[in-house]
Amino acid sequence: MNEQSTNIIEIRNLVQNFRLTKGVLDEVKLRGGKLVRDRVVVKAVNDISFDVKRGNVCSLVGESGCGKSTTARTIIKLINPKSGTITFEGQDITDYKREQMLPVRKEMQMIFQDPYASLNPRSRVVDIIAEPMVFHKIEENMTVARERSVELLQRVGIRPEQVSRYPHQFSGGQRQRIGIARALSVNPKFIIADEPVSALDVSIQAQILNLMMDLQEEFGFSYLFIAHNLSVVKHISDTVGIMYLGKIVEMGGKKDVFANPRHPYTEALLNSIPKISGDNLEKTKAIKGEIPSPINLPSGCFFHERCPYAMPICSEVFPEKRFVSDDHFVYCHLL
Amino acid sequence: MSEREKILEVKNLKTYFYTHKGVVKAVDSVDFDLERGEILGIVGESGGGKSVTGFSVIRLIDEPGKIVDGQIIFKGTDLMQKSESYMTTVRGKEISMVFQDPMTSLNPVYTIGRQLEEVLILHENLTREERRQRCVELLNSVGIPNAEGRLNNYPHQFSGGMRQRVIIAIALASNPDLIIADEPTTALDVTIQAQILKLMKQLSQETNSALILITHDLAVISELTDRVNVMYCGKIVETGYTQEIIRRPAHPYTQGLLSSIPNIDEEKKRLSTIPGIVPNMFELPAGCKFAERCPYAKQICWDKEPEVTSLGNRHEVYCFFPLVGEDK
Amino acid sequence: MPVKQSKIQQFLHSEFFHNYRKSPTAIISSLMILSAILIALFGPLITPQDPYALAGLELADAFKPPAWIEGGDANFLLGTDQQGRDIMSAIVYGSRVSLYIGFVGVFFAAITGIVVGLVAGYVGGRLESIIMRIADIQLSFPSMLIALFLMTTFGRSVSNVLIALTLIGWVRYARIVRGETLTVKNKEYIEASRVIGFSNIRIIFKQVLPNVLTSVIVLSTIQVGSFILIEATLSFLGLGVPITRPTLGMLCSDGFAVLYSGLWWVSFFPGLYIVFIVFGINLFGDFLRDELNPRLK
Repeated sequence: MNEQSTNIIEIRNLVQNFRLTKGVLDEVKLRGGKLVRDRVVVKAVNDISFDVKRGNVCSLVGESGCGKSTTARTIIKLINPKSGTITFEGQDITDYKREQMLPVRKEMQMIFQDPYASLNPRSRVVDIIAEPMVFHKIEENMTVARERSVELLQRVGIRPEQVSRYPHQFSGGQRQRIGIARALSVNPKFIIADEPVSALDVSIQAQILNLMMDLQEEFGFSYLFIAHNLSVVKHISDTVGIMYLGKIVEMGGKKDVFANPRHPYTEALLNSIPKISGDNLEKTKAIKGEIPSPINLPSGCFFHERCPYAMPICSEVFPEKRFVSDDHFVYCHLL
Repeated sequence: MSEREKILEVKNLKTYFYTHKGVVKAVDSVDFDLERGEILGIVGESGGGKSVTGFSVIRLIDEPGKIVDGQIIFKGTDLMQKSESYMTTVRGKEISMVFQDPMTSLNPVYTIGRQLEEVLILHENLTREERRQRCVELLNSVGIPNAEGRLNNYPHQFSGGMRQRVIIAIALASNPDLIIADEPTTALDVTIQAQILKLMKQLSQETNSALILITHDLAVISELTDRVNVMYCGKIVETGYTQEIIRRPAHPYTQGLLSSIPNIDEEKKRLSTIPGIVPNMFELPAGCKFAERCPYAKQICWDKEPEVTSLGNRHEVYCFFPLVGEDK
Repeated sequence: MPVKQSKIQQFLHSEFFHNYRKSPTAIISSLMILSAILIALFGPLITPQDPYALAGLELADAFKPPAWIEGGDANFLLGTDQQGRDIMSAIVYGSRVSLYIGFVGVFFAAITGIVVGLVAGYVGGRLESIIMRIADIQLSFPSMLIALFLMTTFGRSVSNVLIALTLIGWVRYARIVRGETLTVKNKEYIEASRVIGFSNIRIIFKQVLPNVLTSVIVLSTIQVGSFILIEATLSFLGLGVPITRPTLGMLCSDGFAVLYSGLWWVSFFPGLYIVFIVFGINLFGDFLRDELNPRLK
């Protein structure tokens, strides 16, 4: 059951998609004089594989439509994968039903993006933290649980006098802290953070990121950090993966990926970031075109229409995985 | 640096919001000006007053807000003295605005050609054919491929980045002298944001429109603007040439903002932060609003509001102990 | 443990109360409702007679006009009917049943509709489709028709009226609650609850339900008025509650027979009182709807 492997999470060939049409009547269309059945499917996650090492921070970065949030929600089994496997601490949880997942749920938790939607507006903050403790039998009853919750909330920076208030009485940054405390309430080993600072002001982002790093050092859990901001990711990650249209196009140790990006999309992302030095946009060429829709995936390599280095083979065949170094891999024909 | 003509002078602007919990002084005594063709940034965090400043300039403040005092002198005329019907002739024609959310800034039931045309019908005297020509020109200038064909498309047929381009086209339709852009790229993906920012800079140079760019992102400010106003709790705390301020910030808040930005070129274990949170806007402290979070605050900072200190070369700071002379 | 501001203090400082004080319609309409409730509760203690204690009636008092008209009697302020019943007392007693049916009817319709709506919205899929189709079908029949059919088939009684109202009324609740549930169920705090491992039943009733109640409250105020009117119509047609439990509608109906003989007050005052109650409720419902509308953060 609990083999001490180095990986806390192993994802293999994960696929996730959503049907937009509901049933036969929606799908049948007249085309070219014939009746055809047109299923509209959003191909959100298209066969990805990666590992998160115990105690590490692994980040997945990408823009809209890249499937990073869907990946997060699939790994934590808010939605069941269409295919592929999810292995947590050596257990294959892919097909676990609710009863089997219950003990696993204590070990993996999630921090959400929108501080204004991630807390129940009708619950007092202390109860939001205490209820999971009682539910998972970590504490005997609500009284004891509330006491522990007050401690935990203090640890994340919410003062004891405030704990009986309702979420709307707190600022965005404070709500995010409460969300972090909730994730910690059950002592998980693995936390997925879905864009936890994107909705916050810059100076608050820094506070929350520091808090997350401090807590990780103190409690020793592993993170899967989802973000669209490469700068944020550079500070906190050990491993970085770049996603585009449901594929991981490049992944490796942070230093490797940032110093030596091998995928044209990674390069484009790095070039697009406005820099405080003020000269990045002038120096670099902005990448052309729009992100294609996950409903109509391009042929071959998904990035070929926008890639400045595209070759004929890029529009025909999806590249194979190539290793640049031990843990740095890329999917690109250029290598 | 030659003195260009001033097209906007804002003096002592005060915009307050009267809510049931009390008065929020969203913009509290703000002064700045803008030259023709210049790009001015207004930077600050939520609640700092930057968006409200932008809306105040074109007098788009609704209940419970009110522009309580001040002068907004646009091309020599004080807009505060003018009627609402006068303002409708100014808005869209001489001053136009680009809003933050491209998903909701366009009316979903009209084609974008129609929405573009509307501005022209309202403010220009052109024949139908001339209008259509102009619409195509505008779409081309913002980089929308196949412009002629796309005039008949509806907003939902465009992606977020494309919609923002359309909105910029609408803003430019009447050759305004001033464009106010409120967080125009915040809702867009990074690669699209880069495209739009480059576009805005290029268009501003080509058309010689002045641009007020409101954003919380200092890096965007650095890439795009000539000068910048840093706002905190409704007041300007520092103003000056952008590169100067970024290299030699004089106000502790500006310095705090700069060091809390995760910088892709640097490696740090922990980000420096500005301790504490923004004060409650209903209970603003007396004295300097930043005192409670300022590492350098002394007694006088709590007692009196700082007055302006001029550091030369249009660099001004509102602080009793400016950080001038500190190299970043 | 930390101190909480008392609920009353919180309420008095809230935006809701602030807007309430500022709005004349809100204050007036809430007073109208309050007075109707007080009259129903305590009226019988001060009315000159119990109009349904047959012993106390005197035929000699019959058909007296309202007190301010010639021929009227100060004892019977609003006049009497063909049996010597004091109209004012009859209204007080009648309003008790009308209000009872209105509120209790809403209560049952709401509970049914809320549960159905929650389940349909949260579970989705086929179950939702089936439930919503049933709701649509029912909505295409006029409610009065359904009520008339049920009352004719099953006979007149208070409980049958309540059943009829529940069967008519659940649909609107179900639709609104389902709509709100669809919005709420995708919110991140619901996802967070699922990640923690809470069961679906627990999530539906402890997390979703409290957050869909605001629209239910608004709908309920309007439904009370609507149910009172439906009941009044049923009684007017002789298909409502049995004559031993008179309601305002029945009083109108009784008076109808003598309306054209010039004895207008027998129908008029009960009718007027129905208007008063329903109008007050609807006005207050308007205010509530504007107030409880989720504002921008």
